[in-house]
Amino acid sequence: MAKVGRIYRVVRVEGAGLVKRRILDLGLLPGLEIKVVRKAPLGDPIEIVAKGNPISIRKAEAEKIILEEVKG
Amino acid sequence: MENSKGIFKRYIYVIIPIEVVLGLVYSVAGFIAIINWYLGTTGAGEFLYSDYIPGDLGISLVMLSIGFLMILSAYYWFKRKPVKSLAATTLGLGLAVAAMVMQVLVIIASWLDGIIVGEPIAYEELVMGFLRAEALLGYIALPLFYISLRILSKITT
Amino acid sequence: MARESRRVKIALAGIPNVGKSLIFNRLTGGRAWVGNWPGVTVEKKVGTLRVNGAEIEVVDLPGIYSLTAYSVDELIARNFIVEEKPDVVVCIVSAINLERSLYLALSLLELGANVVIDLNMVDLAEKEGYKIDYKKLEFLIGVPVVPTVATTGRGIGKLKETIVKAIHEKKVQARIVDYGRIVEEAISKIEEVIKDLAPELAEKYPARWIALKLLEGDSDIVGKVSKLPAGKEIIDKANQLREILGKKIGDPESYIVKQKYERVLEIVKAVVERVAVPRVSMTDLLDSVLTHKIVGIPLALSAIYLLFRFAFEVSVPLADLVDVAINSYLHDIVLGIHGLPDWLTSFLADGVIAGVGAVLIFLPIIAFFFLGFAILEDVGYMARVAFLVDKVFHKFNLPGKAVIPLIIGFGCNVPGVMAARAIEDENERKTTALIAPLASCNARLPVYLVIGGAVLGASAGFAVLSLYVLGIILALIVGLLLRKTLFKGASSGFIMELPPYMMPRFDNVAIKTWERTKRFLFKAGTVIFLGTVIVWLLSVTGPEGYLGPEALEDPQLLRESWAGILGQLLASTVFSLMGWDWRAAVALFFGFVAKEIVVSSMAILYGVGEEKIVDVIAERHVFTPLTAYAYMAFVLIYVPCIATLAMVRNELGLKYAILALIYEVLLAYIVSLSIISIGSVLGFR
Repeated sequence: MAKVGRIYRVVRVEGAGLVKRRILDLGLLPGLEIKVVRKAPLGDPIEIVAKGNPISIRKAEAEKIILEEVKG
Repeated sequence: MENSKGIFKRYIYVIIPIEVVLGLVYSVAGFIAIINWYLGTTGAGEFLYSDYIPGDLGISLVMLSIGFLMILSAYYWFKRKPVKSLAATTLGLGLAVAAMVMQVLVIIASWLDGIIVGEPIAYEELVMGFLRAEALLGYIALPLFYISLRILSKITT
Repeated sequence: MARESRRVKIALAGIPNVGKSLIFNRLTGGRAWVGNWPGVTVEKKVGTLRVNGAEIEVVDLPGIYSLTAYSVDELIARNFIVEEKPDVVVCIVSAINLERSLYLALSLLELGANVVIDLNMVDLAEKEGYKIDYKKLEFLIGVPVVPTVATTGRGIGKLKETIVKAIHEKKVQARIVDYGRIVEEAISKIEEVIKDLAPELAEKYPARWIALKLLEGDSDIVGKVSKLPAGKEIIDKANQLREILGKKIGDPESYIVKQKYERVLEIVKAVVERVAVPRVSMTDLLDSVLTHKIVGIPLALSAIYLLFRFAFEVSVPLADLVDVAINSYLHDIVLGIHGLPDWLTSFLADGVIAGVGAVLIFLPIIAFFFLGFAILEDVGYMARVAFLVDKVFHKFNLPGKAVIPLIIGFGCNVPGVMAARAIEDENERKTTALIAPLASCNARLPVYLVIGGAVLGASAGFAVLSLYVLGIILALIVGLLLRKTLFKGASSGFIMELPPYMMPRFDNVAIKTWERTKRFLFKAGTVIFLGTVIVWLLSVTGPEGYLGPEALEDPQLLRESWAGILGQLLASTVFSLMGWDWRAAVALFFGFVAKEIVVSSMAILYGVGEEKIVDVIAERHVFTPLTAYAYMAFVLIYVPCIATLAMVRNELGLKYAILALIYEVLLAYIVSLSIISIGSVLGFR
């Protein structure tokens, strides 16, 4: 599970249909670095930043994005 | 960022101390507003500081939020997060100014309304409206808000 | 084809938050015809652009990121482009969100549209330290690019000129993206099959685009192609190629999107020059406080509280001005006209003028509310409010954005229902529009205050607060039930860009406020007006014919009117278990028109002035505390007013308006009865 404040790289996007396509169309593509910025006060959704643009996404949807942590 | 260091110096010495005091006053006023709301709905007793603090759940929430933001700002400062501290300050002061402006607008509105309806205007009551806690404290917050907004826009995009 | 006889038509496309509605207004002068796209509840706005004596129809497409078959909005946009073949598609591109904007622009180009790029918000990009070489952009994508600043009007003249020029010089750049050898080979193979077997399809759509969509597995296109005589063959070929591709490049859809994005990045890299080093981002900084885990939610509630204060208290003088002008001045003028028959005077004074008054008195509150709301929305804060509460709504199968119609609903349910439009998914939108009326609007408050004040004494404050909470809880529960039955379907989730915080722009806010207020006036106004007239009619007539305007003031006479008879019937039958006075039941009937009327009609029915009604209810023991609370709950839940129902009909159709009516009345009945039965079991009276 992704942690707040860490930087990750997108490995691939799983799932199907609208949710997957929305993720792809927002440019969250394999190779992209994203940062998990914060959680909403109730713990869900989370806010990530990709190339300076904040994007909100529910945890259940974020799980479709397979990530690897970027060291350093 | 030499320049922003100088800016921050002004910020700590001028704004932070006033703001901590202001934050405490807002918090206390917010609590009293809740107590007054309780007293008002149950009829259990006279309002505390009835001239200054209404028995209104909404306004108490606003004042508690302002108080919390100002104290949060001080907390960030001591945690050595000056930029976050400044953001909390600016938003707290901004909400304080918004609450004050709203109160002033409401007073002006009820004055105009008196004229339109043709009822005698209770000037004393209107003037007392300007002394309500969120208005009074808002006057103090206004110049501070201006300063903190200026600093904030200098250090961010 | 009779091209000449048809009006020249252009479409506006763009991702959300690019200032598209402002561009629309700049092009059309703000006059627009607003309706729905056929068969769906998505808003369609059409205006006219006048240049050099020519009239060009401008169609505003929904704000979209892409052109897939997954979302209704995107389907609408691409079907419009394919079926109606607009002469030009103006793609509004955000200079501060160039990547996603260009991604959409390339999608439009692939669809074979004659695109003109409006590079908007160049001022903000400059302020943030970006420089965009728009000439180079023009060169790279092969269609005209016009930099504009919609908020000031900079570049709009040039944009109009470019549109006119583009109408005559069509440019098609359907091959704008190179998908790499492997995919391109597959594309040309399918293209060939299509051109051979289904030439009619290739005439309507660019064959390359169809091929791409078949490789992506686009459900809409796959469906359309399979209906063709040669459909099976084409689909089989496509599936076969998809399988081969899958082995080489993984999921074709992801690969195609990635390739397209890479082309976008290439272009962006070539045209954007960063002149300044980024400093701390203001948006991120403000978000760290505004969505803070402790103070985030209290802050949102504070902002909403101040918004309501602005709407309800600051608008008072205007509302009273209207009141004085209509209900005293105009009313007196009509009463002063001699020689009119009695019934006509009463019809004009108590029916027509009261009806107009009922609409217009409410207008300042609505306008102030929309003004405050538009500011919060323009700043970018409303998206954060949705972000804050999304989890709660998620649990009830609703999107976080559903909170906004409910918040607005606390002011007035009519715009609350209207606001459900902002929700993308059809099922979620319909559900939200149907539950928004359960938010306890401002018009219900006087009923709570009068009855609570008269009967509940010290606990009135808590009782009122509990009703507001009850409204929200019921809305969520009904929402969940609807999502599990009528409006099933996967959640559209909460994947969205959070717009950067911005200073609100005056004209943007003014236009939004004006358009929404106008719609309220026309859609709700006519219904409230008619309702008031009908209530007047039912009150002054009865089985014995015309009773005269005295019936409006005389309780005995009113008892003999249709309204009175109906109320007595209700009180003695369905409401007999509740223990409510027949007058209270009649007041509920009047409350269908607008909740404000409940208190004033009670006053009439008890034969006192409105200022005395609290005393009368208290002295005559009309209610016990238990029946009073049940009555207040009933007022909360049963149909807010006919204007709200009219808006549900307008948004979702008559079927759903009837559904709303039935479920609300039933729910009100069930809840009130439960309060009474459970309450009496617990020993309350």
